[in-house]
Amino acid sequence: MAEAVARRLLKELKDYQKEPNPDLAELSPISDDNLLIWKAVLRGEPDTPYEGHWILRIEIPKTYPIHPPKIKFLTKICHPNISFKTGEICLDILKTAWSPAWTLQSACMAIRLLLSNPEPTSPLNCDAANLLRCGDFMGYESLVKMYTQLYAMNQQENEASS
Amino acid sequence: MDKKIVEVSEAMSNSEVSKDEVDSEFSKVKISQINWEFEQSIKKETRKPPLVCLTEDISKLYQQYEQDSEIYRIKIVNLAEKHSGIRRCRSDGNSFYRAFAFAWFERIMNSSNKRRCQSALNSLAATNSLLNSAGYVTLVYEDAYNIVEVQMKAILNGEHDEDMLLTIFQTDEISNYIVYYFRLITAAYLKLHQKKYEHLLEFEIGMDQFCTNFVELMDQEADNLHAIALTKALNVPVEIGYIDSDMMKYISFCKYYPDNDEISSISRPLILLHHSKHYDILYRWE
Repeated sequence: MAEAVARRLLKELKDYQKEPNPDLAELSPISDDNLLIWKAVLRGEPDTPYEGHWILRIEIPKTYPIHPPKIKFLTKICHPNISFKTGEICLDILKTAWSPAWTLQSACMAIRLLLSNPEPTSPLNCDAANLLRCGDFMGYESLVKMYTQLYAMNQQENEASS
Repeated sequence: MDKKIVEVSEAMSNSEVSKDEVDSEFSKVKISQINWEFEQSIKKETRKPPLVCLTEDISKLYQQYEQDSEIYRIKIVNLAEKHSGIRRCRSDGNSFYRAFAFAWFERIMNSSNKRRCQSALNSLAATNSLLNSAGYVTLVYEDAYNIVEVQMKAILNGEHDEDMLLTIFQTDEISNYIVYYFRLITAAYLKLHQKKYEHLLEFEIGMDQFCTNFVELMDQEADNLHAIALTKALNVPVEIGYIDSDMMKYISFCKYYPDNDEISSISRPLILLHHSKHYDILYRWE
Protein backbone atom coordinates (compact mmCIF):
# COMPACT_ATOMS: atom_id res chain seq x y z
CA MET A 1 0.00 0.00 0.00
CA ALA A 2 3.00 2.31 0.24
CA GLU A 3 2.65 2.66 -3.53
CA ALA A 4 -0.83 4.08 -3.05
CA VAL A 5 0.58 7.41 -1.89
CA ALA A 6 3.17 7.45 -4.70
CA ARG A 7 0.52 6.68 -7.29
CA ARG A 8 -1.70 9.46 -6.06
CA LEU A 9 1.17 11.98 -5.89
CA LEU A 10 2.31 11.20 -9.43
CA LYS A 11 -1.24 11.76 -10.62
CA GLU A 12 -1.36 15.09 -8.83
CA LEU A 13 1.93 16.07 -10.43
CA LYS A 14 0.69 15.13 -13.90
CA ASP A 15 -2.56 16.93 -13.27
CA TYR A 16 -0.73 20.14 -12.36
CA GLN A 17 1.65 19.88 -15.32
CA LYS A 18 -1.18 19.23 -17.74
CA GLU A 19 -3.08 22.30 -16.66
CA PRO A 20 -0.70 24.87 -15.19
CA ASN A 21 -2.30 27.07 -12.57
CA PRO A 22 -1.44 30.78 -13.02
CA ASP A 23 -1.68 31.34 -9.26
CA LEU A 24 0.74 28.53 -8.54
CA ALA A 25 4.06 29.15 -10.27
CA GLU A 26 5.48 25.83 -9.21
CA LEU A 27 4.34 22.57 -7.64
CA SER A 28 6.64 19.55 -7.68
CA PRO A 29 8.72 17.18 -5.57
CA ILE A 30 12.07 18.75 -4.65
CA SER A 31 14.02 15.71 -5.85
CA ASP A 32 13.38 12.65 -8.01
CA ASP A 33 14.19 10.20 -5.24
CA ASN A 34 11.86 11.50 -2.59
CA LEU A 35 8.25 11.95 -3.62
CA LEU A 36 7.21 12.87 -0.10
CA ILE A 37 8.72 16.37 0.00
CA TRP A 38 7.41 18.98 -2.40
CA LYS A 39 7.95 22.63 -3.08
CA ALA A 40 5.29 25.06 -4.20
CA VAL A 41 5.54 28.67 -5.28
CA LEU A 42 2.41 30.75 -4.71
CA ARG A 43 1.72 33.96 -6.57
CA GLY A 44 0.11 36.35 -4.13
CA GLU A 45 -3.03 38.10 -5.32
CA PRO A 46 -2.24 41.18 -7.47
CA ASP A 47 -2.97 44.60 -5.92
CA THR A 48 -2.77 43.21 -2.41
CA PRO A 49 0.13 43.59 0.02
CA TYR A 50 0.94 39.93 -0.66
CA GLU A 51 1.66 40.39 -4.37
CA GLY A 52 4.89 38.44 -4.70
CA HIS A 53 6.29 34.91 -4.84
CA TRP A 54 5.91 32.70 -1.78
CA ILE A 55 7.76 29.43 -1.41
CA LEU A 56 6.05 26.63 0.48
CA ARG A 57 7.53 23.38 1.72
CA ILE A 58 5.13 20.44 1.64
CA GLU A 59 5.81 17.32 3.65
CA ILE A 60 3.54 14.40 2.80
CA PRO A 61 2.83 11.57 5.25
CA LYS A 62 2.79 7.97 3.98
CA THR A 63 -0.90 7.86 4.87
CA TYR A 64 -1.76 10.75 2.51
CA PRO A 65 -4.47 11.54 1.38
CA ILE A 66 -6.27 10.06 4.39
CA HIS A 67 -4.09 12.37 6.51
CA PRO A 68 -3.16 15.95 5.57
CA PRO A 69 0.21 17.15 4.27
CA LYS A 70 2.33 19.41 6.45
CA ILE A 71 2.73 22.74 4.69
CA LYS A 72 4.79 25.70 5.82
CA PHE A 73 6.14 28.91 4.36
CA LEU A 74 9.85 28.97 3.58
CA THR A 75 9.66 32.61 2.51
CA LYS A 76 9.37 34.87 5.54
CA ILE A 77 5.88 36.30 5.66
CA CYS A 78 4.02 38.71 7.89
CA HIS A 79 0.49 37.37 8.38
CA PRO A 80 -1.68 36.93 11.49
CA ASN A 81 -2.10 33.16 10.95
CA ILE A 82 1.43 32.30 9.89
CA SER A 83 4.37 32.08 12.25
CA PHE A 84 6.99 34.67 11.33
CA LYS A 85 9.73 32.48 12.79
CA THR A 86 8.87 28.98 11.56
CA GLY A 87 6.45 29.57 8.67
CA GLU A 88 3.87 27.33 10.33
CA ILE A 89 0.35 27.93 9.04
CA CYS A 90 -2.80 27.94 11.16
CA LEU A 91 -5.51 26.75 8.79
CA ASP A 92 -8.23 24.24 9.67
CA ILE A 93 -8.01 22.21 6.46
CA LEU A 94 -4.37 21.41 7.25
CA LYS A 95 -5.45 20.01 10.60
CA THR A 96 -8.90 18.95 11.75
CA ALA A 97 -10.88 19.88 8.65
CA TRP A 98 -8.73 17.93 6.19
CA SER A 99 -10.48 15.39 3.99
CA PRO A 100 -9.00 13.24 1.22
CA ALA A 101 -11.09 15.19 -1.27
CA TRP A 102 -8.47 17.96 -0.99
CA THR A 103 -5.36 17.83 -3.17
CA LEU A 104 -1.95 19.49 -2.76
CA GLN A 105 -3.03 22.03 -5.35
CA SER A 106 -6.36 22.86 -3.72
CA ALA A 107 -4.63 23.07 -0.32
CA CYS A 108 -2.14 25.59 -1.77
CA MET A 109 -5.06 27.59 -3.17
CA ALA A 110 -6.70 27.60 0.27
CA ILE A 111 -3.46 28.99 1.70
CA ARG A 112 -3.40 31.66 -0.99
CA LEU A 113 -6.95 32.58 -0.04
CA LEU A 114 -5.95 32.79 3.61
CA LEU A 115 -3.44 35.52 2.72
CA SER A 116 -6.16 38.01 1.81
CA ASN A 117 -8.62 36.65 4.41
CA PRO A 118 -6.75 36.66 7.72
CA GLU A 119 -8.41 35.37 10.87
CA PRO A 120 -7.01 37.60 13.63
CA THR A 121 -8.80 35.68 16.40
CA SER A 122 -6.46 32.69 16.17
CA PRO A 123 -3.10 34.35 15.58
CA LEU A 124 0.34 32.83 15.20
CA ASN A 125 1.74 36.31 14.63
CA CYS A 126 0.35 38.53 17.39
CA ASP A 127 1.92 41.76 16.14
CA ALA A 128 0.18 41.48 12.79
CA ALA A 129 -3.06 40.30 14.40
CA ASN A 130 -3.08 43.16 16.91
CA LEU A 131 -2.83 45.80 14.19
CA LEU A 132 -5.88 44.24 12.50
CA ARG A 133 -7.77 43.84 15.75
CA CYS A 134 -7.44 47.49 16.64
CA GLY A 135 -8.47 48.44 13.11
CA ASP A 136 -5.15 49.90 11.99
CA PHE A 137 -5.44 48.65 8.41
CA MET A 138 -2.95 51.22 7.08
CA GLY A 139 -0.36 50.14 9.61
CA TYR A 140 -1.08 46.48 8.86
CA GLU A 141 -0.77 46.89 5.12
CA SER A 142 2.46 48.83 5.25
CA LEU A 143 4.01 46.32 7.65
CA VAL A 144 3.00 43.43 5.40
CA LYS A 145 4.19 45.26 2.28
CA MET A 146 7.56 45.95 3.85
CA TYR A 147 8.18 42.25 4.48
CA THR A 148 6.79 41.28 1.08
CA GLN A 149 9.25 43.67 -0.57
CA LEU A 150 12.05 42.39 1.61
CA TYR A 151 11.49 38.67 1.05
CA ALA A 152 8.96 37.85 -1.68
CA MET A 153 9.72 40.23 -4.54
CA ASN A 154 12.85 38.65 -5.93
CA GLN A 155 12.37 34.97 -6.43
CA GLN A 156 15.94 34.07 -7.35
CA GLU A 157 17.38 35.61 -4.23
CA ASN A 158 14.74 33.93 -2.23
CA GLU A 159 15.54 30.51 -3.56
CA ALA A 160 19.23 31.01 -2.90
CA SER A 161 18.56 31.85 0.73
CA SER A 162 16.22 28.93 1.33
CA MET B 1 16.30 2.26 32.90
CA ASP B 2 17.30 4.31 35.91
CA LYS B 3 19.71 1.57 36.78
CA LYS B 4 21.31 1.88 33.35
CA ILE B 5 21.85 5.58 33.80
CA VAL B 6 23.52 5.00 37.17
CA GLU B 7 25.74 2.41 35.58
CA VAL B 8 26.69 4.81 32.84
CA SER B 9 27.52 7.61 35.23
CA GLU B 10 29.63 5.18 37.25
CA ALA B 11 31.37 4.14 34.11
CA MET B 12 32.04 7.79 33.32
CA SER B 13 33.52 8.46 36.74
CA ASN B 14 35.83 5.52 36.32
CA SER B 15 38.80 7.08 34.57
CA GLU B 16 40.04 3.75 33.25
CA VAL B 17 37.05 3.39 31.00
CA SER B 18 37.69 4.68 27.51
CA LYS B 19 35.45 7.28 25.90
CA ASP B 20 34.24 4.78 23.30
CA GLU B 21 32.87 2.46 25.95
CA VAL B 22 30.98 5.32 27.56
CA ASP B 23 29.55 6.32 24.19
CA SER B 24 28.40 2.79 23.52
CA GLU B 25 26.78 2.64 26.96
CA PHE B 26 24.99 5.87 26.16
CA SER B 27 23.75 4.56 22.85
CA LYS B 28 22.47 1.44 24.62
CA VAL B 29 20.45 3.65 26.96
CA LYS B 30 19.17 5.58 23.98
CA ILE B 31 18.19 2.41 22.14
CA SER B 32 16.41 1.01 25.16
CA GLN B 33 14.55 4.34 25.42
CA ILE B 34 13.51 4.08 21.77
CA ASN B 35 12.44 0.47 22.23
CA TRP B 36 10.43 1.43 25.27
CA GLU B 37 8.64 4.22 23.38
CA PHE B 38 7.98 1.86 20.49
CA GLU B 39 6.53 -0.78 22.81
CA GLN B 40 4.34 1.83 24.46
CA SER B 41 3.02 3.01 21.11
CA ILE B 42 2.20 -0.58 20.15
CA LYS B 43 0.48 -1.16 23.48
CA LYS B 44 -1.54 2.00 23.03
CA GLU B 45 -2.58 0.89 19.55
CA THR B 46 -3.49 -2.64 20.64
CA ARG B 47 -5.65 -1.39 23.50
CA LYS B 48 -8.06 -0.08 20.89
CA PRO B 49 -10.60 -2.63 19.68
CA PRO B 50 -10.20 -3.77 16.05
CA LEU B 51 -11.87 -1.60 13.36
CA VAL B 52 -14.30 -4.49 12.81
CA CYS B 53 -14.58 -7.38 15.30
CA LEU B 54 -15.60 -11.04 15.18
CA THR B 55 -19.31 -11.73 15.60
CA GLU B 56 -20.40 -12.08 19.22
CA ASP B 57 -23.50 -13.60 20.71
CA ILE B 58 -26.24 -11.06 21.32
CA SER B 59 -26.01 -11.79 25.06
CA LYS B 60 -22.74 -9.82 25.09
CA LEU B 61 -24.78 -6.73 24.25
CA TYR B 62 -27.00 -7.44 27.26
CA GLN B 63 -23.93 -7.71 29.49
CA GLN B 64 -22.75 -4.33 28.26
CA TYR B 65 -25.96 -2.68 29.49
CA GLU B 66 -26.33 -4.72 32.70
CA GLN B 67 -25.45 -1.74 34.86
CA ASP B 68 -27.76 0.63 33.00
CA SER B 69 -31.43 1.30 33.60
CA GLU B 70 -33.92 -1.53 33.22
CA ILE B 71 -35.48 -0.25 30.02
CA TYR B 72 -32.24 -0.93 28.13
CA ARG B 73 -32.21 -4.53 29.32
CA ILE B 74 -35.83 -5.02 28.31
CA LYS B 75 -35.09 -3.61 24.87
CA ILE B 76 -32.13 -5.93 24.39
CA VAL B 77 -34.02 -9.01 25.57
CA ASN B 78 -36.68 -8.17 22.98
CA LEU B 79 -34.02 -7.54 20.36
CA ALA B 80 -32.57 -11.00 21.02
CA GLU B 81 -35.86 -12.59 19.95
CA LYS B 82 -35.09 -11.83 16.34
CA HIS B 83 -31.35 -11.22 16.39
CA SER B 84 -28.66 -13.76 17.12
CA GLY B 85 -25.40 -11.87 16.94
CA ILE B 86 -23.65 -8.54 16.88
CA ARG B 87 -20.45 -7.53 15.14
CA ARG B 88 -18.89 -4.50 16.72
CA CYS B 89 -17.12 -1.73 14.85
CA ARG B 90 -14.67 0.68 16.42
CA SER B 91 -16.27 3.87 17.61
CA ASP B 92 -13.94 6.19 15.69
CA GLY B 93 -16.47 8.33 13.85
CA ASN B 94 -16.35 6.11 10.76
CA SER B 95 -18.40 3.20 12.10
CA PHE B 96 -21.48 3.83 9.95
CA TYR B 97 -19.56 3.59 6.68
CA ARG B 98 -17.38 0.74 7.89
CA ALA B 99 -20.31 -1.27 9.24
CA PHE B 100 -22.34 -0.61 6.08
CA ALA B 101 -19.49 -1.64 3.79
CA PHE B 102 -18.61 -4.74 5.79
CA ALA B 103 -22.21 -5.91 6.06
CA TRP B 104 -22.75 -5.32 2.35
CA PHE B 105 -19.57 -7.15 1.28
CA GLU B 106 -20.33 -10.02 3.65
CA ARG B 107 -23.86 -10.30 2.30
CA ILE B 108 -22.55 -10.51 -1.28
CA MET B 109 -19.91 -13.03 -0.23
CA ASN B 110 -22.54 -15.33 1.25
CA SER B 111 -25.06 -14.91 -1.53
CA SER B 112 -25.47 -17.67 -4.07
CA ASN B 113 -27.58 -15.47 -6.32
CA LYS B 114 -25.27 -14.54 -9.20
CA ARG B 115 -27.62 -11.94 -10.61
CA ARG B 116 -27.75 -10.10 -7.30
CA CYS B 117 -23.96 -10.13 -7.04
CA GLN B 118 -23.63 -8.73 -10.53
CA SER B 119 -26.10 -5.97 -9.74
CA ALA B 120 -23.99 -5.03 -6.69
CA LEU B 121 -20.97 -4.65 -8.93
CA ASN B 122 -23.03 -2.58 -11.37
CA SER B 123 -24.22 -0.29 -8.57
CA LEU B 124 -20.63 0.19 -7.50
CA ALA B 125 -19.48 0.94 -11.05
CA ALA B 126 -22.29 3.48 -11.44
CA THR B 127 -20.91 5.53 -8.53
CA ASN B 128 -18.09 6.71 -10.80
CA SER B 129 -20.45 8.75 -12.92
CA LEU B 130 -22.33 9.85 -9.78
CA LEU B 131 -19.10 11.35 -8.41
CA ASN B 132 -18.34 12.92 -11.76
CA SER B 133 -21.72 14.59 -12.07
CA ALA B 134 -21.41 15.89 -8.51
CA GLY B 135 -18.25 17.71 -9.56
CA TYR B 136 -15.54 15.51 -8.05
CA VAL B 137 -12.37 15.27 -10.12
CA THR B 138 -11.15 11.77 -10.97
CA LEU B 139 -7.94 12.42 -9.06
CA VAL B 140 -9.62 12.48 -5.66
CA TYR B 141 -11.62 9.28 -6.03
CA GLU B 142 -10.07 6.86 -8.51
CA ASP B 143 -7.53 5.31 -6.12
CA ALA B 144 -10.19 4.72 -3.52
CA TYR B 145 -12.55 3.36 -6.17
CA ASN B 146 -9.94 0.92 -7.42
CA ILE B 147 -9.38 -0.41 -3.92
CA VAL B 148 -13.10 -0.97 -3.37
CA GLU B 149 -13.53 -2.53 -6.81
CA VAL B 150 -10.61 -4.94 -6.35
CA GLN B 151 -12.13 -6.19 -3.10
CA MET B 152 -15.59 -6.48 -4.58
CA LYS B 153 -14.31 -8.50 -7.53
CA ALA B 154 -12.28 -10.77 -5.26
CA ILE B 155 -15.48 -11.46 -3.34
CA LEU B 156 -17.46 -12.16 -6.49
CA ASN B 157 -14.75 -14.57 -7.67
CA GLY B 158 -14.92 -16.43 -4.40
CA GLU B 159 -11.34 -15.47 -3.42
CA HIS B 160 -12.30 -14.14 0.02
CA ASP B 161 -13.68 -16.01 3.01
CA GLU B 162 -14.92 -14.40 6.23
CA ASP B 163 -11.44 -14.33 7.80
CA MET B 164 -10.00 -12.62 4.76
CA LEU B 165 -12.79 -10.06 4.68
CA LEU B 166 -12.21 -9.33 8.35
CA THR B 167 -8.47 -8.94 7.78
CA ILE B 168 -9.13 -6.46 4.99
CA PHE B 169 -11.42 -4.39 7.16
CA GLN B 170 -8.98 -4.50 10.05
CA THR B 171 -6.12 -3.22 7.90
CA ASP B 172 -6.08 0.54 8.50
CA GLU B 173 -5.20 1.70 5.02
CA ILE B 174 -7.54 -0.47 2.96
CA SER B 175 -10.32 -0.08 5.50
CA ASN B 176 -9.98 3.71 5.58
CA TYR B 177 -9.94 3.96 1.80
CA ILE B 178 -13.21 2.01 1.72
CA VAL B 179 -14.68 4.37 4.33
CA TYR B 180 -13.47 7.36 2.35
CA TYR B 181 -15.03 6.09 -0.88
CA PHE B 182 -18.37 5.50 0.82
CA ARG B 183 -18.18 9.01 2.25
CA LEU B 184 -17.65 10.43 -1.24
CA ILE B 185 -20.61 8.50 -2.63
CA THR B 186 -22.79 9.82 0.20
CA ALA B 187 -21.62 13.39 -0.39
CA ALA B 188 -22.08 13.13 -4.16
CA TYR B 189 -25.64 11.85 -3.77
CA LEU B 190 -26.53 14.67 -1.38
CA LYS B 191 -25.03 17.31 -3.67
CA LEU B 192 -26.95 15.99 -6.67
CA HIS B 193 -30.21 15.95 -4.69
CA GLN B 194 -29.53 19.21 -2.90
CA LYS B 195 -33.04 20.59 -3.44
CA LYS B 196 -34.68 17.59 -1.87
CA TYR B 197 -32.54 17.41 1.25
CA GLU B 198 -31.16 20.86 1.96
CA HIS B 199 -34.11 21.82 4.17
CA LEU B 200 -33.24 18.91 6.48
CA LEU B 201 -29.88 20.40 7.42
CA GLU B 202 -29.80 21.47 11.05
CA PHE B 203 -27.47 24.40 10.63
CA GLU B 204 -27.72 27.38 8.36
CA ILE B 205 -25.19 25.99 5.93
CA GLY B 206 -25.57 24.99 2.32
CA MET B 207 -25.31 21.39 1.12
CA ASP B 208 -21.79 21.85 -0.25
CA GLN B 209 -20.54 23.13 3.07
CA PHE B 210 -22.38 20.34 4.89
CA CYS B 211 -20.70 17.75 2.69
CA THR B 212 -17.26 19.27 3.19
CA ASN B 213 -17.64 19.46 6.97
CA PHE B 214 -19.77 16.47 7.87
CA VAL B 215 -19.60 13.90 5.08
CA GLU B 216 -16.21 13.99 3.35
CA LEU B 217 -14.38 14.60 6.60
CA MET B 218 -13.03 11.39 8.16
CA ASP B 219 -13.96 10.57 11.76
CA GLN B 220 -17.28 12.48 11.58
CA GLU B 221 -20.07 10.05 12.46
CA ALA B 222 -23.06 9.73 10.15
CA ASP B 223 -26.71 10.54 10.79
CA ASN B 224 -30.06 9.73 9.14
CA LEU B 225 -29.36 11.93 6.15
CA HIS B 226 -26.13 10.08 5.42
CA ALA B 227 -27.95 6.76 5.68
CA ILE B 228 -30.67 7.90 3.26
CA ALA B 229 -28.08 9.04 0.74
CA LEU B 230 -25.79 6.01 0.84
CA THR B 231 -28.71 3.58 0.64
CA LYS B 232 -30.10 5.26 -2.45
CA ALA B 233 -26.73 5.80 -4.10
CA LEU B 234 -25.78 2.12 -3.85
CA ASN B 235 -29.28 0.62 -4.10
CA VAL B 236 -28.79 -1.27 -0.85
CA PRO B 237 -31.65 -1.40 1.67
CA VAL B 238 -30.65 -0.89 5.32
CA GLU B 239 -32.52 -1.01 8.60
CA ILE B 240 -31.02 0.75 11.58
CA GLY B 241 -32.09 0.07 15.14
CA TYR B 242 -31.64 2.87 17.66
CA ILE B 243 -31.14 2.09 21.34
CA ASP B 244 -32.58 5.20 23.01
CA SER B 245 -33.49 5.92 26.60
CA ASP B 246 -37.20 6.31 25.74
CA MET B 247 -39.66 4.05 27.56
CA MET B 248 -40.55 1.87 24.56
CA LYS B 249 -39.92 -1.82 25.17
CA TYR B 250 -38.80 -2.44 21.63
CA ILE B 251 -35.90 -0.94 19.78
CA SER B 252 -37.26 1.08 16.91
CA PHE B 253 -35.89 0.21 13.50
CA CYS B 254 -35.75 2.85 10.80
CA LYS B 255 -36.03 1.58 7.25
CA TYR B 256 -33.80 3.17 4.63
CA TYR B 257 -34.82 1.81 1.27
CA PRO B 258 -33.57 2.68 -2.21
CA ASP B 259 -35.90 4.23 -4.81
CA ASN B 260 -35.79 1.04 -6.83
CA ASP B 261 -38.66 -1.04 -5.38
CA GLU B 262 -37.59 -4.18 -7.16
CA ILE B 263 -34.29 -4.24 -5.31
CA SER B 264 -35.94 -3.57 -1.97
CA SER B 265 -38.23 -6.51 -2.49
CA ILE B 266 -35.61 -9.04 -3.53
CA SER B 267 -32.70 -8.20 -1.24
CA ARG B 268 -32.84 -8.52 2.51
CA PRO B 269 -31.79 -5.27 4.19
CA LEU B 270 -28.50 -4.93 6.03
CA ILE B 271 -29.14 -4.49 9.76
CA LEU B 272 -27.18 -1.97 11.80
CA LEU B 273 -27.53 -0.97 15.43
CA HIS B 274 -26.89 2.57 16.61
CA HIS B 275 -25.92 2.79 20.27
CA SER B 276 -23.28 4.53 22.39
CA LYS B 277 -22.79 7.07 19.59
CA HIS B 278 -21.70 4.54 16.97
CA TYR B 279 -22.94 1.76 14.69
CA ASP B 280 -22.49 -2.02 14.92
CA ILE B 281 -23.76 -4.80 12.63
CA LEU B 282 -26.65 -7.04 13.71
CA TYR B 283 -27.47 -10.53 12.47
CA ARG B 284 -31.04 -11.86 12.38
CA TRP B 285 -31.87 -15.49 13.09
CA GLU B 286 -31.93 -17.30 9.78
